[in-house]
Amino acid sequence: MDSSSSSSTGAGGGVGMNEVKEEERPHVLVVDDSLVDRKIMEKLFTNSACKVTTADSGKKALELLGQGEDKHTEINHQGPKINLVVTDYCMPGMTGYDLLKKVKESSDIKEIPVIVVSSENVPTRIKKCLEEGAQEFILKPLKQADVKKLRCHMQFTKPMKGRLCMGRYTMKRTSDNK
Amino acid sequence: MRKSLEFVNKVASMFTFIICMRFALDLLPIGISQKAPPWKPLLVLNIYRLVCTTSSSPLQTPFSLRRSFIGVIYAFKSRTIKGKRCPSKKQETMSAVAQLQRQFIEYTTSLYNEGYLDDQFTQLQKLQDESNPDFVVEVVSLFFEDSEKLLNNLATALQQKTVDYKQVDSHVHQFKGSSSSIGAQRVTNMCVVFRNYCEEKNLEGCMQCLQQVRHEYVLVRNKLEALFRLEQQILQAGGSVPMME
Repeated sequence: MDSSSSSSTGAGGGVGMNEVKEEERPHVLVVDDSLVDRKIMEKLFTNSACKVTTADSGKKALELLGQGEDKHTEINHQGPKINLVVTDYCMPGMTGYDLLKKVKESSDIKEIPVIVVSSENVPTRIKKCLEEGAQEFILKPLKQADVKKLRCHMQFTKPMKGRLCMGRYTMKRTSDNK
Repeated sequence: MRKSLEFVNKVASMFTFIICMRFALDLLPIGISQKAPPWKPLLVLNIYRLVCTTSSSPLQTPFSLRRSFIGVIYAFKSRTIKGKRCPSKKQETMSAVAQLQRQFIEYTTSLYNEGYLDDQFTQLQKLQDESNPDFVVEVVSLFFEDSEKLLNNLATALQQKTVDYKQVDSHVHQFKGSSSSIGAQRVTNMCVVFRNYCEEKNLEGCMQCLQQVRHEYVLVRNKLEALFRLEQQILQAGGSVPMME
């Protein structure tokens, strides 16, 4: 069967590429002020074959996304591109909600899915985040099963041999599987 | 010929006697079965060959010799079936490991039953693998460091002339978060109670809670440290740490 059509906006650049580098693991940005939670989430995602970068504040996260105040550090374009942002809600200074808003307001990074995690089950908070454009709202503490579900939200810009993304994005496959 | 047969008979009976004695003495039920060491079948085979050379066919061996031979076979066979091991230095270390493993399982189970730990701790252990064999210890150590800081900050905040309850609440919230990420259930529950007193701006309640939270934290810290020590003992004795479901 020929390759299926893709609905992903980023797939255009990946068409016709037969070789896939091993380093094309999804890149996750974990934002949390608690060191314990950062370490746990890092391990959770690493166990799911993702590359992980951590940030201890919203400000640092924006810098890593290339939206820092200086704007000379365009890491997102030069360095590894971030496919998913996971942020804690309660953080001093810039909360997860503020970070979410900033991400969705910016033109170049608004497509990156943002997951908000929180230890408190406050329905108004959940609603607020989802309305602002968060992909999902998950309660802490996170489990391996939650992370497995999140893989479908990660944005792939290049086709990945042997890996099927179930969810919003279908990938253009140059090989003749599925 | 007769003398050598008698000699073999004696050896075989002595062997059977020794093994049966050890068999009887080794009463401790050990749940973990081990593979029979390789020399056992070889020994049985050699005894059989010895028996065969002393007579033209096994059926013609004297009754006593056959009996001893059967006794030896039975002793070995039953031990292999039941998974019991012949006592030797290696076996003694193995039973020490088994004992430690049993202790570990009992201790961990008691921690869960008494509410010190909850499912989240199990989740953390499941995350650990060969690429990062000290993951749980590292995370728990981070938790200990974090907690000491938070407890000090809380004590300072509550000793102020005008207590900033928002600040106290934010510290407790952090403590609640990190303890629930580790699975330290009792600490987390205590933090919930603490936060209620913060909301009411009840200073006495808060002070009491601080003491209780600190107490719970010290308890869980001691228990976890004991658990990690047990793990180390098992690993040093050459065993593997049992996975809790």
